[in-house]
Amino acid sequence: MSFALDNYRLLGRSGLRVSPLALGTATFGTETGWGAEKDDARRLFDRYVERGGNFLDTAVGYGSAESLLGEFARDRRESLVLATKYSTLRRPGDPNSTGGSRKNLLASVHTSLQRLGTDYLDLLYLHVWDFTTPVEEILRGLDDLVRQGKVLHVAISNTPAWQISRMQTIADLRGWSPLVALQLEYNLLERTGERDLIPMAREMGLAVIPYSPLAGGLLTGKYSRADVAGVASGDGTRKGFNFAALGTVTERNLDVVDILKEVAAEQGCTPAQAGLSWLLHNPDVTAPHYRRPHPRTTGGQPGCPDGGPHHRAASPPR
Amino acid sequence: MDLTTAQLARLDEVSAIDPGQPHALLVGDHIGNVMRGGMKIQASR
Repeated sequence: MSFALDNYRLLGRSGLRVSPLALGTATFGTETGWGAEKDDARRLFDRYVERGGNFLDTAVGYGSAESLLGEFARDRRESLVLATKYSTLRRPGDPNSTGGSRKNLLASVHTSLQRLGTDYLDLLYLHVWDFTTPVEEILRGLDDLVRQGKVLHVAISNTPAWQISRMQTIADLRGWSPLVALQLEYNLLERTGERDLIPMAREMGLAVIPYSPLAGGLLTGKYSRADVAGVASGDGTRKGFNFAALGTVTERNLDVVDILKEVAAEQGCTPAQAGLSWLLHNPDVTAPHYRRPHPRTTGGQPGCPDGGPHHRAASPPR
Repeated sequence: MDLTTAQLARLDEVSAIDPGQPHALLVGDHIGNVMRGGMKIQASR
């Protein structure tokens, strides 16, 4: 299974060609207390692009990530696929600075365009469902931005399958821009997207873009049963976050990790590589994210053809 | 590096989820009998 960055795939029902791994930028910038310094982020970006990578993923809610990405992308903007997201809170206390509404959409996109230093976005996701905005307002707003040339393609993440299904149907019936990609957490420890979201994406022409392909680092195999006891929440480490806040280090998940380690040993690769390979073997998956490992974790994966695993490092949603 | 079919099957098995409603019902023997009565009919994808 080749996941060379220059082995491009179509993004859902669009004609856009993207690398089979998207570079996540949520850890660009240090405001969260655990991201990458600018020089590290630049090196990661350069390494990704030099290998043919063209699919950059950011969001208006990722702190300084958009500004850093815009700076890195400046001299090769047209050859990159810049994806960003809107709908997370931009100004505490301002109810119109969050959610899917037309007002927030336009203001958020203008902010992203300014930070990225570009006059168009290749892909815009609705980041998180708000249980509030009428779907027609969202779809018409997205389509207006496409008609204005500010956005080329539209997409969605973190939304119930039934909402996405009816949105796509409405978009098709009205001739509005269809949703061409879906982001969700999908990995060996989180497969519930197989119930409805992934079959829906296949049927309706949305590319599946899994975030957290290594389940926040658990699938690197860095935690064992010996770690289960004695970790406090809020100790400021990724380990504390996984154990206590997310509750993902469970017996069941460690069973999965055990098999993953066995398979990786048989292949002579890392558990991270084997976990990514499992995802990429799924014909419904277009391009998992990958991201730099956090400096306080075990570091990069030796021999990984793409330089390292994804590592979720900020708080959800991604 | 490429995972073998057997390795993929082991990973699929250990990480399998309960499909929940209505998916578990729809692939069960009872519904198979009610809907197809033993005939073989190819599903779309």
